[in-house]
Amino acid sequence: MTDLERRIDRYFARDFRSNMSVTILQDTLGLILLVAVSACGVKPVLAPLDTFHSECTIPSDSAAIPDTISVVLTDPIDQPGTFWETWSDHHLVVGHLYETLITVDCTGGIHPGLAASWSADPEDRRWTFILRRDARFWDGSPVRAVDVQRSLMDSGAGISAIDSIAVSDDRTVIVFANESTVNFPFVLAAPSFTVSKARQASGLIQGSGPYRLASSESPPSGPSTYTLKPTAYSAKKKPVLQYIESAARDERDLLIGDVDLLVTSDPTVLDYARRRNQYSVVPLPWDRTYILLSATRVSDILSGHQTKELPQSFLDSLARDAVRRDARGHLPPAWFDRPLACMDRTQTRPQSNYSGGKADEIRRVLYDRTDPVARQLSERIVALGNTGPNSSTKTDAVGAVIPGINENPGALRAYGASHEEMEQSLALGSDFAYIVAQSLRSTDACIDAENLLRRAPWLSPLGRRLRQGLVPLVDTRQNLIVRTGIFALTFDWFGNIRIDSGSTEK
Amino acid sequence: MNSYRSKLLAAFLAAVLVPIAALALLIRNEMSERFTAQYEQQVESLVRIIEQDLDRQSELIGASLAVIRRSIMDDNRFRRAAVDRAPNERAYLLDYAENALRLSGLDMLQVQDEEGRIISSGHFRNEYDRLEESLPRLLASASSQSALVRARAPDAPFVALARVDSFRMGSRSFRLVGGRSVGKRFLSRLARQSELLVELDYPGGLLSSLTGMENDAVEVPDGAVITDRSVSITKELSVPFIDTSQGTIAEATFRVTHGLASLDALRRNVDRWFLIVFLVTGVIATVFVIWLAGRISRPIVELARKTSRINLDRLDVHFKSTRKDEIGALSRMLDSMTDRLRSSKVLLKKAEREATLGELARQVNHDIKNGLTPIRNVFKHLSRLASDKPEELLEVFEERRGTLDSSISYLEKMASNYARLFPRTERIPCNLNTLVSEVVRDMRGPGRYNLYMELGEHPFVLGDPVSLRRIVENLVTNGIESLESLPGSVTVSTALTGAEDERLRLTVTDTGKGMTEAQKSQVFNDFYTTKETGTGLGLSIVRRLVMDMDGNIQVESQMEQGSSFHVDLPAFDRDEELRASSGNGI
Repeated sequence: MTDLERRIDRYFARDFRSNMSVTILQDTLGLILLVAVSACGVKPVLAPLDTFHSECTIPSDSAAIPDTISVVLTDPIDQPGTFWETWSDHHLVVGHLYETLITVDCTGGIHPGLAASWSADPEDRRWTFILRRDARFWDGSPVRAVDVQRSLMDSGAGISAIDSIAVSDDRTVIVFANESTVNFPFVLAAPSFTVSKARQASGLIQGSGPYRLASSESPPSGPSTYTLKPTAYSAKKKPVLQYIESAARDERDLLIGDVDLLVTSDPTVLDYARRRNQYSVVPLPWDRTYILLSATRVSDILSGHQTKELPQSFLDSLARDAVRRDARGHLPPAWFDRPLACMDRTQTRPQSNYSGGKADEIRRVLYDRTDPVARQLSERIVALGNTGPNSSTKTDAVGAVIPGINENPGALRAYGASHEEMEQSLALGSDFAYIVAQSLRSTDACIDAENLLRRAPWLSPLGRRLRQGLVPLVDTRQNLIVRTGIFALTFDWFGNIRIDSGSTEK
Repeated sequence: MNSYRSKLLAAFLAAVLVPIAALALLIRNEMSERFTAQYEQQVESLVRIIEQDLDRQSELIGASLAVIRRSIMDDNRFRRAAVDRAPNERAYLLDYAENALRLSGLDMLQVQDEEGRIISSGHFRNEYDRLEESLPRLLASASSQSALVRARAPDAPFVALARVDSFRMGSRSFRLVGGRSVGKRFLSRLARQSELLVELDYPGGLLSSLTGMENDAVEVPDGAVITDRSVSITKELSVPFIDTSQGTIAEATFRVTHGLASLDALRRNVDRWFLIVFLVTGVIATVFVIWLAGRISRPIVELARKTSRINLDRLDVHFKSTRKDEIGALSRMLDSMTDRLRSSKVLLKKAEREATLGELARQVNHDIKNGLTPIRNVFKHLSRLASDKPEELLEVFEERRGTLDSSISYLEKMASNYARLFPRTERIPCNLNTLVSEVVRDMRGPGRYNLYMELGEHPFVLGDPVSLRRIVENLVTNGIESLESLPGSVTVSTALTGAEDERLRLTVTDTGKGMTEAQKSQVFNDFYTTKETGTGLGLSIVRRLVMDMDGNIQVESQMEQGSSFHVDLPAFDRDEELRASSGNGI
């Protein structure tokens, strides 16, 4: 376990009762602030940090700032106006175009974003954010409190954490949380709460980040390119960011050219990059975990049977041997490892449609066919399930965790489903088991739990025991391939990467 | 059905359609036999191809395994992973078989250690660490060094033809199990024709080239019936099959089946086309036969019609023909026969007349004798008185004078009657309507009968006016008398008749008592009468007069209904005559 991981664990273990800052000094300062502000009737806030933790930065060896930096986008962008919302490579772009009220570095350290400061009432329900004085959209118009109010209300995912939003003046936004929680600012750091100017008919991206989308080209024969230029209001000189779609080309070929930045999980690409001196490979935070859902396990839990967990050694061997990506056996905390008090609110109690596996009936372990990690996990589970009971300790371990998996050797199949097939089957719970990817970078466990229950409503009867119904397998992460030493960059808790961390104006 | 046309049609259809039907059957059978033989040959060839292909595949698999074995032996990373068990090379080992699989073109590849544990699997990368020692052992014991196996895969198992190879590395021994899939593409590649079905029946399943999509073979449950083999040609080839779950070598069967659907379709097409030819030929033959029969039978029908009109009273029918065929000959023969009939009729009439004269002479002799007998008796009586009692002669004469008068009157009447038997006739145009009107006018009386006239147009006939008057008078009188003083009517009508209005028909119809068939047959005989005071000569005279004018007379009668006498006489076209006369300058 790296130091970073240990700190993240500690961060969650404290349940946000203290800041995720890692220094006692900062905690002490926070305590002093708490006492001072309490005298004025206002609860002390978590003290913001000025700079990202060193683990979240890659420094530049060169004083010179390059004119242009080439960044590879591995996924094609269908709609440039909305790509940051739906696109998996958004973490390479979003930090340059948009800001949130709060930012969180990769260690969980809270930093000012659009909000220069904030405070909360004693119940941690009413949060007051004061906007940065020099906050401007890319076109120069000031970011007002009403823009923040509208952007937050327009947010899709995560909006359930917010009860209401009020504006007292152009710079003061008052956000009422649905629940009393000290980590509410952390919630507002999620990418879904980016602030943008009212969308216009042109559909152009308009945020308050240091960059603006200057141009985009989609030649009929060749990859699409997107150019981000610094806004006129950026205080520092910044390089132009040139994004280029890999367009299904071998990413190793791109590394032969002038590419400066590439995010990938392909082990062959990473291996190739490591063999080239001009590139550094930097692992990003663990951002994804894979869980196994099984109707038979849920059934067992609901019947009152004791459930077992896969031993960590098994999970580690799974990550090491079965998955050909940067993976580890799952380590808490993921969102489902936290207490899920909100699960008591669950009202619906649908049952799984899984018929129970008759003799000779093909039983499928479904996975998203576009996800290689899910496929490899599914195939390993199938290999172990088809071996039959008492064949090995691993087989027995799987059999103990997933009831009935060893009952009919040979009848278990791994099935790569399309997105629609997967969601349809998952909604009904009609297949034997599912390999499902979940985000490790969560701000609100309840929201993630509700999202999962929305996809698989047959888990709802578990209520607070939802965690028992999930079988975590492995965690994965992306790796950053970056040209060594020519520019600095930072990455935050959510994996958003920002080139030249010093660009944030204060 | 018995008509000439029907018989001709039946004969013609039989002559045309039966050979077509026979030809259809022959072609159908010949085609079936040839195609079936061809299919059998195809099936046998395909079985041989499968056999040869399996051998060739086995050799290729062996060669591939040998190459992989040599490659492994030279691979230090493999050695590090498998022999030195270096943890950092484990991923390389796990991926090794998959990479080798891609390079070798095999569909199945396992590397097993000496315990039979899979240390690398190409077709199912994540089945590592599984124990499967029976597979290489059974493969090694197979007679042909290769066998079919059911290989596991993540998504679905598949059947492969597999071989085994082995090598040693350090202190460890390893076995390579490689194979090529014989399901799906393999079967579909063999069954290139849609009707050709290749199946692999093995313990636990059945693979078939029968496809519903993308020309892939499909796996169907064991024992499922996927084709109707009762209408197909099937050959089988047995190959060893390793059942790893049982740890035994069983048997799998390649079954090649050629369906007969296309042959059936061809048969149906042939049937359809022959049916069309059959129907078209039938229709054409029918039309042709109808036309031909009409062409042949029309003159015969015409001859029959004319022939039906011939009787002794009607011999004006002619059968002249210019045709040179049998019909013409028949016509000329009939015409000649009619001519002879006409001659015979004259002779017959003459003979009849002579016979009638003889009969008449005897009748006259008899009647005269009858008339003279009282007279001779009176004279004998008077002669005896003159010699014996002359004084009574005058008295007796006076007494017997009545007898003499009546006898003489009888003889006079007889003479008058006989004179009427042979009237003289002449031929001039006569208006029959005028004549009928006069007769009817004269005969109207105080009786309880009614006289009606229905007179047609063009009433002229060529005949003797006196004879005609006698004919009309006789017939009308006969009709009135048939009423026997009861209420009734007599109707006299005239009308043109014949195909070309060449005759004028005089009809006298009464509502009298009618006649029996026997009476009808004798009504025109001389001296035949049903009346107490009749002479029996009226209607016979009428008949004779009619015949003298080249006419004929017929009677229709029903008892208690009345009788109708039809007299047909040659019509005289006065207008035409006048036109002819004016044309000749007359």
